[in-house]
Amino acid sequence: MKQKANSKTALKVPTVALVGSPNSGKTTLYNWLTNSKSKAVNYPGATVEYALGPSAEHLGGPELIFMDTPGTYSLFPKSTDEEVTLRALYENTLQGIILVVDGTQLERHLMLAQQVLSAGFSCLVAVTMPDLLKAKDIEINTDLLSFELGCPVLLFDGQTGKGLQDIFAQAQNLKSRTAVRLKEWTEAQQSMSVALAKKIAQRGYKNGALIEKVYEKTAQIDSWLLGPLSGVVIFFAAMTFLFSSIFWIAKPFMDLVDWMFEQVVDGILAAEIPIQQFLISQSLSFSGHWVGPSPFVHLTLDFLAHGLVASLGAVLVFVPQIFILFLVIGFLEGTGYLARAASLIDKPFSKLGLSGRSFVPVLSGFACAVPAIMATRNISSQRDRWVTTFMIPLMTCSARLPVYALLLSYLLADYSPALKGLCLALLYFGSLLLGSLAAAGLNKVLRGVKSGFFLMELPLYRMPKASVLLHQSFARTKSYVLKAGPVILIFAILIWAGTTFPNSEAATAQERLQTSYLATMGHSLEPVLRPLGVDWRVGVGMLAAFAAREVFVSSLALVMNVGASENSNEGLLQAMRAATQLDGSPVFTLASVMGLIVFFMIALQCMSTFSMVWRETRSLKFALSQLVLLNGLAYGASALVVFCLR
Amino acid sequence: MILSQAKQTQQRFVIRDHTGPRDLVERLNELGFRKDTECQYLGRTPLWGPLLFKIGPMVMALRENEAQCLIADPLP
Repeated sequence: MKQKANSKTALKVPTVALVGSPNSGKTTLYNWLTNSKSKAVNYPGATVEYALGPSAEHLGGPELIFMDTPGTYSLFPKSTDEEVTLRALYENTLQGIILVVDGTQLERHLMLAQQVLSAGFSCLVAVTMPDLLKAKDIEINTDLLSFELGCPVLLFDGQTGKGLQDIFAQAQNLKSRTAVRLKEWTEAQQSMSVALAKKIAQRGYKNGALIEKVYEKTAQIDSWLLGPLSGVVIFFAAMTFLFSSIFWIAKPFMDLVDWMFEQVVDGILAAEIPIQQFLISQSLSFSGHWVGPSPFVHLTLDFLAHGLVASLGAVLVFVPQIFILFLVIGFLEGTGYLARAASLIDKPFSKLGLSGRSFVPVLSGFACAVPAIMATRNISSQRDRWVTTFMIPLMTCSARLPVYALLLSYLLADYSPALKGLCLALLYFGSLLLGSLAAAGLNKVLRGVKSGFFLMELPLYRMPKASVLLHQSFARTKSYVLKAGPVILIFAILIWAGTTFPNSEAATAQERLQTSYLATMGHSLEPVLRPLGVDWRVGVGMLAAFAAREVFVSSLALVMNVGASENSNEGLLQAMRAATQLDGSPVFTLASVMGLIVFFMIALQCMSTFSMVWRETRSLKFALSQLVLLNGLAYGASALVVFCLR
Repeated sequence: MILSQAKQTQQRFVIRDHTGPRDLVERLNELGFRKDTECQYLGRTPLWGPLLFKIGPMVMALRENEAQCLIADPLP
C-alpha cells in the first residue's frame, strides 16, 4: 500500500535532488554540477545537513538548484542521515531526482533505484566510475539500462567531469511528479527487486565477469593497510600525522593569526595618543581652554582593541586548525582509508560504547575541542555523536598545557624536567580515562536511544581531487566562522566588559582588573572557592579562563601584580609562593594546586567549545547540561582532592 | 552456522537465513547479504576488530553482533 506524501515546501527555483548510497560518487557529481558552491541546510532539531547549490554558470541554460542528500541504502531509513534524505525528498517540491549509481556495483545500487522509481519520482540515473570499468575493458550498456528502468541512464566520470553536460541537460528535462511514500517493502517485493536488479545488471554489463579485477588493486593495498601488524603500524602513523597536523603544522599559522591581531590591537592602542593630541589641540583652538585627554576616546579604543578586535582574533585563531583538520580528514575519507581506520579501531572504541568513527574526533580533541566537535559530523549514529561530543572537552587540549605547565612547575620546582614530563603524560592518560568514564555514563543515560549499525562498507581506494578537498575544507571553515563565530564574539566581549568596568579609567591594567566586575564576582565567589583552597585572585583567573583556558595564566599574573616585563612564569611562580590568605596561610599548597589541576582536567571552561557544542548539537539543553555537569563534577572532584590532601 | 563463527580466511559461504532485529536484517539484505547469496570471509581487522566479508566485488566490515544475524553454510 502506498501513502500520499505530506505537505511540501515549494522551492523557488527548480530543484533536483541527488540520491544514492554512500560512496556512490554522489557528492563528487554534486560538486561538479554546482562548482562546489553550496549552502548547508538543517531540519529543525536535526544535526545532519543536506546541501543546496545553484548549477554552475559554465553549464549554461536555465538555473537549477541541486540538493546533495546524505547517502542512503533505501527509502526505509534506519539512521538519522537516511531520515534526513527521506524528508528532503518528500517535504520539498522537486523537479526530479538524479539517482547516482556506482557502476562497479550495479546490482546492489539498482535496488535503491527501483524503490525511488516505484515511488513515482521523475528520475534520471547517473552511473559513476566508468573510468575504472573502462580500464578493465568493461562497458555499461546505458541504452539497455534506460529501457529496463524506464528513465534516462548516463555515464559520469568524477575524475574528468565527462558526461556532466549531458546530465545537466537531462536534469533540465525532468518534469515534477507527485511521488508517494512507500509504506513497506515486503520480502516478496524485495525478492522480485533483487531478481530484477540482478538480471538488469548482468545484461547491463559487457564483460561484467571482469568486475572483480576493478577491486584487485584495492585488495592488494588492504593486505597492507589491514594486515595484523602492518595495519596497526600504518594506522598509528596516519593518526600521528593527523594529530601533528592540527597540533604542530597549524601552530605557526595560528601564531601568525595571533601576531596579526596583536599588531592591529597595538596599532589601535597606539593611535590613542595622536587622537587625544588632535582633540586637545582642536578644543584648545576652539574654546581656548585646556581640556584633558578624553576618557571616552580611551574607552572606545580599548573596546575596539581588546573587546572587538581581540574577540575577532579569538574566533579566527581556530581557522588554521579547522581548515587543516578537515583537509586531512577529507583526504583520508576521499581515498577510502578513513573507513579502514574506523574499522581497525572499532573494537577498542566499542568498549566505550562508541564506534570506530569516533576515533578521529576524539584524537582531534587532544589538539583542540573546537574542530574536534565539528569532526563529529562524520559519525552517522546520532547517539555516538552525542557521546563523542560529550567526552571531547575532557581530552587534554593544547589550551590546558600552559595551565598544567605553570601548576606542575610550581609543584615540582625542585624536581627534574623528566618527572614533569611524566606527570604531564599521566594527565593525558588521565583525560582518556575520564573521557571513557563520561562515555560509559552517558551511554547508560542514553540506553533507550538506538545506537545504529556499524556495517562499514570499505570503498575502492581513489585519489581525491585537490580542488574538491580544498573547497570542502574552506566550506567547513566558513561554516565555523559564520555559525560559531558570533557566539564566541559575544562571550569574548562580555568578558572584556567584565574585566574593564566599572573602573575603566584606572591608572594600571592591574588596578582595573582588581576592581573590575569580574574581580567582584571573584570576591563574591570566595565562600565557594574556599573548599578548593584558593582565594578570589584564583577565582578571577578561573572566570577569565572561560574566554580561553590559557587566559588563566595571564589573568593570574595580572591580578597578582606580575609585570609584563618580568620573565612571565618565573615572576608568577614567585608571586604564587608568596601569596597568602587573610589568615596568613599560603594560597598555593600541594592540596590547592592538585585541586586546580583536577579542576582544569574536568571543567568545561571554554566558551568556544560551548558555542561549538551548541551549534553542532543544535541543542542549548545539551550544551548547558554538559557545561553544568562537567563544571559541577570538576568542582566536586577538586574539593574532594583538596580535602584529602590537606 | 552463524557467520560470526567464521574462522578460516578465504572460506566461502552461502547465506541460508537471517535472524535478529528486523531493521538490522533489512539493512543486511540491502547491503547484499541475502538468502542464497555467496560471500567470502577475509578475516578480522587488526586489534580484534570487525569481521571482513567479500560480498560480490565489495568488502564489508561487520561487527560480531551483526554477523550473528546471518546463518550460512560453508562451501567446499
